Amino acid sequence: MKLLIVDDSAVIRKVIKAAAGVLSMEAEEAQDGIEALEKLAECHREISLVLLDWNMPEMSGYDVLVEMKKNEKYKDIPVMMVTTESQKTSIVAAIRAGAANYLTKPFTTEELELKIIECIGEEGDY
Amino acid sequence: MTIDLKEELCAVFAGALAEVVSTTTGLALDMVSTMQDDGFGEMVGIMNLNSKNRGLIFISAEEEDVRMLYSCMTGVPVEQVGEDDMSDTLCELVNMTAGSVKLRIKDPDYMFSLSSPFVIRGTDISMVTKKRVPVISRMLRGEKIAVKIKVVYS
Ligand SMILES: [Mg+2]
Repeated sequence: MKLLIVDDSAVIRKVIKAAAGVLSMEAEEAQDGIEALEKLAECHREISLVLLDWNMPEMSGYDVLVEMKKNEKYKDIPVMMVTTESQKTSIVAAIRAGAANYLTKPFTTEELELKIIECIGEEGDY
Repeated sequence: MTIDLKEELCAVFAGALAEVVSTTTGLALDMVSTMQDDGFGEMVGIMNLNSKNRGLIFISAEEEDVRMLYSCMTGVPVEQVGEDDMSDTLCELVNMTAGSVKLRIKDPDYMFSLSSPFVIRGTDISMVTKKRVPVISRMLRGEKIAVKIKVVYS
């Protein structure tokens, strides 16, 4: 079971990757929206969950989400937004666009792990 | 800007920073200084706050303290923290603090959208502003680190 972590911050990617390790999951990383779509093209079959930052250079996480939901190959991969955009309007917009879950930064490791499990189910499912 | 509003914004920004640091690193910070201080630490993370009252947020710390922040966030030993890690930590600290502030700010004139943070580095960096430009300034200190936050509205 593999996560795709999309965030322009290396420190956030590292923190999320460590949490994935605790849950015995592997992780691919992308540092912006364009790289995220490239990674999906390469290995979407292996990806069980995409963790998506909102504010990134080149292409925002929201735009990646919209692209994913338009694409037959990626539209069923669950997406969790992990972002500093914490206002209700942003959360509603992301859920409407097809995000399965939403986690606002800052988060504790425990919150992150719980949210990941919420998205992909308990260990039996992965 | 009235003194009341300045005090309120001060509390909002400094409170958000303390919460972000405590959530991501487990380090508790107390507000120690309310006096006007124009200095910065060796690393300064900056973000432009796009709003009706255009603003800039600065979060700064000494390099050693930024290393400690990264180390506490990731579990990487302090001596293994690299230059890019330090810049990235400060950028993300600014990003998360500004994001948290948006949830706390009540006055719509001071609500803003986030932009891309960046870092400047150097010793003895100081800021000179025009007389009537409101500058909010706080120092936060914990057992292991000290962090300064400044916000300028124009
Ligand atoms: Mg970002």
